Amino acid sequence: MRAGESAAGFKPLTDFIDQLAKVTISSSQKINSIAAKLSKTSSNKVRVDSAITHFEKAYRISGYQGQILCLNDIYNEIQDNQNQLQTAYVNELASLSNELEMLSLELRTAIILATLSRVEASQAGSLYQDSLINVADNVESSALSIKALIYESQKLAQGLET
Amino acid sequence: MQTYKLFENKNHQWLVFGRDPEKPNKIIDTNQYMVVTKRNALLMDPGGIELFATMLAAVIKQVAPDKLTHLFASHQDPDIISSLGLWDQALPEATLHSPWLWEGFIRHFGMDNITFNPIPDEGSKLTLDETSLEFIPAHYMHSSGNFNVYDPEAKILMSGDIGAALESIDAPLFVENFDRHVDKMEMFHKRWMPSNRAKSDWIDRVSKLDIDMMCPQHGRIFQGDDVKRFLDWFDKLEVGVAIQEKE
Ligand SMILES: [Fe+2]
Ligand SMILES: [Fe+2]
Repeated sequence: MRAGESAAGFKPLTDFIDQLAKVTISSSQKINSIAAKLSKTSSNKVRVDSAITHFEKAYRISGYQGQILCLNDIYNEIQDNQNQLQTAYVNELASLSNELEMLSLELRTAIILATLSRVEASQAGSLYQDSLINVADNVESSALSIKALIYESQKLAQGLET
Repeated sequence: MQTYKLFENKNHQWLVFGRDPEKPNKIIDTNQYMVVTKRNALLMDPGGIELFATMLAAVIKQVAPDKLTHLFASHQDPDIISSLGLWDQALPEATLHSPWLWEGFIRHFGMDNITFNPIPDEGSKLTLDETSLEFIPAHYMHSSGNFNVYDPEAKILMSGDIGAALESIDAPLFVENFDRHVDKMEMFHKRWMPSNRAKSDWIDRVSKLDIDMMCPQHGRIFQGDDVKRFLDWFDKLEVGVAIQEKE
């Protein structure tokens, strides 16, 4: 296809951009929902962690003997809950990192697309040249700013690993 | 945390927990009350989050966790109920009785397991085994949705912030000299209680009850004639002063 040959020649290019935009949007929605879930898990975990700390203090005050031992079942349940939340936290964080990585790879296509557009531009007639260069610039700058955000998020996600 | 028995008969007992020597400074000292019957217990105004571990240890000495079936929060303040999120872990089967008005706010303290029982504005009753308790309206005293707990058999009124005094941590449990006690209550009531009308309404309601002991959430317990002395003193006190001083 020669993009410059006719307006119809643009179609594969615009389809390509549409597709990339769709993937980016759905992936960022997914990232958002994983991040929201992760935040909920971690606030639940903070609550349970704090319950464990307070229970341990109650055991300490009571010298680990007498009536306080009636709490053992409940305490064990809270600990189970803490373990489950810890596992959920690790899994959700891994899928967040994974999704960020996938989006980042997806965006490499955008750079290829921009290059393709510039090649087309150099061979197109002057009528389409400017628009093709414009498309290339837009696609590239959007991709780069999204990539910068992904990189930032990846660094933040790494900081959450314990 | 100290535990004292205030009342006991064949059906139930009243306990008070307080005067915690480990309490961090700058946190207001609180009294927590518990009614224990044959198979149930009601813990009233269980206190702030920082108090939870000491309270749990003290409470468990008295009742097994599955027997502590009911909690009561007279209103939404943090010194009353910010420990809820932790009780919620410790007592997943329990019910919390609290003004309907505050449900949406109290849930912010964390309540995934405990059942919320909204007390209607006109009050309600709670029966624990053979013992019948009444939630007495005390709205705007000081909170917009606010209840006391009355036990007609023990003749005890748990009055929440009403009757509160700011005291040192080692203060005696009971009022010994009412006139000298007034100093420790006056500012608190003038500033925290917003409405003279609400105050009169509460005094009218409570005057009809037969009360041997009035138990506030802060300070000392009023006994015998001191209950009447408190009501007379309070009746004459102008409250809501933050507004009045500006006028
Ligand atoms: Fe209060
Ligand atoms: Fe209070």
